[in-house]
Amino acid sequence: MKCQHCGYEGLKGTFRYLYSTTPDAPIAYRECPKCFGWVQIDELEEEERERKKVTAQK
Amino acid sequence: MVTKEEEKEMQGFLDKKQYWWWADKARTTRLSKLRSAVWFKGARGSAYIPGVKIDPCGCKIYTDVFQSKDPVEPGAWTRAKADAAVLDRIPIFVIDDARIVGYCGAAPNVIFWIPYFAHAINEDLYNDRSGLFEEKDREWIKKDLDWWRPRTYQAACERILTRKEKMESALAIITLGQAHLNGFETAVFDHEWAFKGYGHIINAIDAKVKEARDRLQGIGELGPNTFPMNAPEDLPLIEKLDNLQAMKWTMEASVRWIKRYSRLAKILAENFETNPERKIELMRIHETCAKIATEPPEHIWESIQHHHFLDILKRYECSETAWPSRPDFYHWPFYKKDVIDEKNIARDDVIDYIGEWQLRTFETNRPWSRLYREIMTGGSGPLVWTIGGVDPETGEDACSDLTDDILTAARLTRTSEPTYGFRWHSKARPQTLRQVFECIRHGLGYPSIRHDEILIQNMMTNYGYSVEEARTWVHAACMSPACTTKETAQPIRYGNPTIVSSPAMSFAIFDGWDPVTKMQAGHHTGDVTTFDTWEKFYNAWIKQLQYIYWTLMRGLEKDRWIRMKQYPRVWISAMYERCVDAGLSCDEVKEHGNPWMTTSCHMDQFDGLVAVKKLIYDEKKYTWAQLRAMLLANWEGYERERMDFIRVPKWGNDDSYCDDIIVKAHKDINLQTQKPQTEWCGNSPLYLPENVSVYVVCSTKIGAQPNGRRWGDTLYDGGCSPGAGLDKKGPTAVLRSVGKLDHVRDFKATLLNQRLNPTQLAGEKGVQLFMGYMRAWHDLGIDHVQFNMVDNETLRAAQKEPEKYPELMVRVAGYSAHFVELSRKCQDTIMARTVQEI
Repeated sequence: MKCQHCGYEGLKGTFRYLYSTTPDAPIAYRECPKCFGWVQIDELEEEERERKKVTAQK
Repeated sequence: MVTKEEEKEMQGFLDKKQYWWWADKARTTRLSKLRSAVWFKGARGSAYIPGVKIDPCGCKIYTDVFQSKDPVEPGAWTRAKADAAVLDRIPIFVIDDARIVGYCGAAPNVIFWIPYFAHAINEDLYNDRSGLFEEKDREWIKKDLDWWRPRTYQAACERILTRKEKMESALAIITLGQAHLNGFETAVFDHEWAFKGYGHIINAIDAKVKEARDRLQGIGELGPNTFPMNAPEDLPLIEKLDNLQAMKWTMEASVRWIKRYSRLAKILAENFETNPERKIELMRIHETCAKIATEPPEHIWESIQHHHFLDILKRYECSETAWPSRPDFYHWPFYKKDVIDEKNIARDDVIDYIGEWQLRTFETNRPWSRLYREIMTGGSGPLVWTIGGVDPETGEDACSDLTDDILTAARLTRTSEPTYGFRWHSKARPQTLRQVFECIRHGLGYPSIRHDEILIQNMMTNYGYSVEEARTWVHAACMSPACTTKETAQPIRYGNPTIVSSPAMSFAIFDGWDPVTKMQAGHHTGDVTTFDTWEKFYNAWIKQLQYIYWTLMRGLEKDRWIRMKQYPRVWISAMYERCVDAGLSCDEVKEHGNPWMTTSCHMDQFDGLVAVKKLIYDEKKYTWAQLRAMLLANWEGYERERMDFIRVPKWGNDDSYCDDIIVKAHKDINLQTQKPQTEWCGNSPLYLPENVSVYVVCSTKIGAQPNGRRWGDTLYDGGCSPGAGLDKKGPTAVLRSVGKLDHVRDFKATLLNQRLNPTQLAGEKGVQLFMGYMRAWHDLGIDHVQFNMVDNETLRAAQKEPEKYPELMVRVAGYSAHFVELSRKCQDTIMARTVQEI
């Protein structure tokens, strides 16, 4: 995933989980490890994207 | 006089829902001036606002008295002497334009503090990075704190705690503090006694002293030794005489302190004030204070001043978390006499007095640790004033013009404290209910609404009160009803160890191990992967709850014992007629109380229970090993699976599968964790789920849960509220779910947050919709509900440009706060709550 503040790219797990205010939806805030900015992501979408990427690499 | 243009402008503010601008125009110049001069002592985020300091006077005076004490004098004497020295030596002041005087502290921007209670708080304040003490004072304060460290109440209590108990208290795994760590209490006045005046109490003490002395000397018709000694009964009188002496000193000091205000007002009037109208006001303050220093009040301005002094004096002795009172009922006889019968004062002027009293209340606070400042972020109490309800003797509606005036004043002052709890009952007069609604519509977040009939039944059923006693109830703190009669008024905050209960779910899943602190925190209840039936898991969860509740109850009661024997509260003891009668401290005399255990972060675990039953035991879609792995990973990499757990039926949707499990669990908690316990006065507690901002603070203290919550996410915000956004079927479904709980028998009370749509509830139609909704709520026998009525558009705008919205208020959970003073996370969770269309 990509930080919209500084452009840092990395796996979702490298962005520290902060919190979600919508427990019934996969939207959450994570913290960029480089600039510490808050990034809002769709956890499910991002997870699927990463899974597909890993499968493609294999 | 309001001109037509001004009237039009004010209506415009109401139409645009800019209620703060309306209030700004509608309130008097005096109230506006007083309001702008107030120092708010609540926290913004977790920090006091710049300029607020901790008052070092109490530390200096207490240390002087305790270091020079006679080593053989009774503990109550030293405490009384220290309190009296504070009242004699603390600087006092009168604010410009004020007609109500009295503050707990030497200046308007300071928070009074004594180092006597918790060294944890002492050091927290001393080391606070925002500099709560003046640089010039830090050296001597440090010396004093070093002296106090082994002598604090906390130190005495910790001598009898195990290492594990101390860690549990300090780390806030299953509790947010204990009495010895918080250093605060909540004493409910014996109302009739307190309003008899200090002179009456001093005379009563003198009479008891004479009675005890005569008995010790055997004085009768023949003089000394008229009758023989009965040592087992007579000798305890020696200790009682010591206690009564101490009580008398504190009462006499109170009289002197009030007379200081009388004198100061006179000096200002005669020597400094040039405005003739203000001179008259100052002389009125002088006369009022001179009179009520010893006599009971006779007029409404005297009764308000007396009531205010009572609560300020209480705060000099001990940090108080609340302001339990029922102002419309207590002051009604004075109001009736002065406003209605004798017309000694105009109604508008009384509204002004009440508004000023609200401001004087708003400016108080206590010294908090940073943790507690965060728990009460944006608030300074909660200082809940109880209004409405019924007359204790007749059971008839107690709402009055004074109730309406209090609610009017609240809309004008728009302070987050005091906050109000309205005792809603079937006989309440419509015009007062309308005023209640108007406060909510103005976005104050209060009054919270309490079901009077249900709560009276609750107290009669669980604690054996007579109906007359139960009808006197006031809010002891945010939520808990407490009676105010001679035998029932409670001197302590039973719910002091605020319990964090959802960790019980983690403990049950991990055999007592806490995944956040990586400690064995709860009971060993067995390897969950071997639990082949739902009942085995359920019983393990109940056992973990027993561990949590019983640990905390033990701590609370030990704290009371230490206070009773070594750290007496003398002033408040004199405020209980039963204590003066017995010559004993309020911690020793057993009140007919109604103990409760405040329980935070409560509801998440119930939705977790439902998810476990459905997905592991009923449908067998997941195994315990899988769920444990997902929870330990904080659901990272398991988002699809997490959504499965989210989609399980949730509380607040009138779903019988879910609700049946949760209703049964509430009953079992009461029967298996609360009923087996007995506290000092012989009662069993009831648990009381609510939250203040604990649901935000604990978001990083409680691990991932089977309801789909991740570590870091806030918990459910109420005591019985559904999770934010999880109530999908409308407000009636929420009420139906919550109404299935037994609000009379299963708990002391429980908090329900609701958000209403301000557009839908505009105009007269809105009033009718609201009243219809409240009828449904009342018919379902739900003990509490409170509302936010601010739209997300406004809240988002306030997040973006906070400087433009300093007056925007919201209901957090048990208290109201200015939105811009809350942490971002807390703001987000309020916006995430479902806006209900009714």
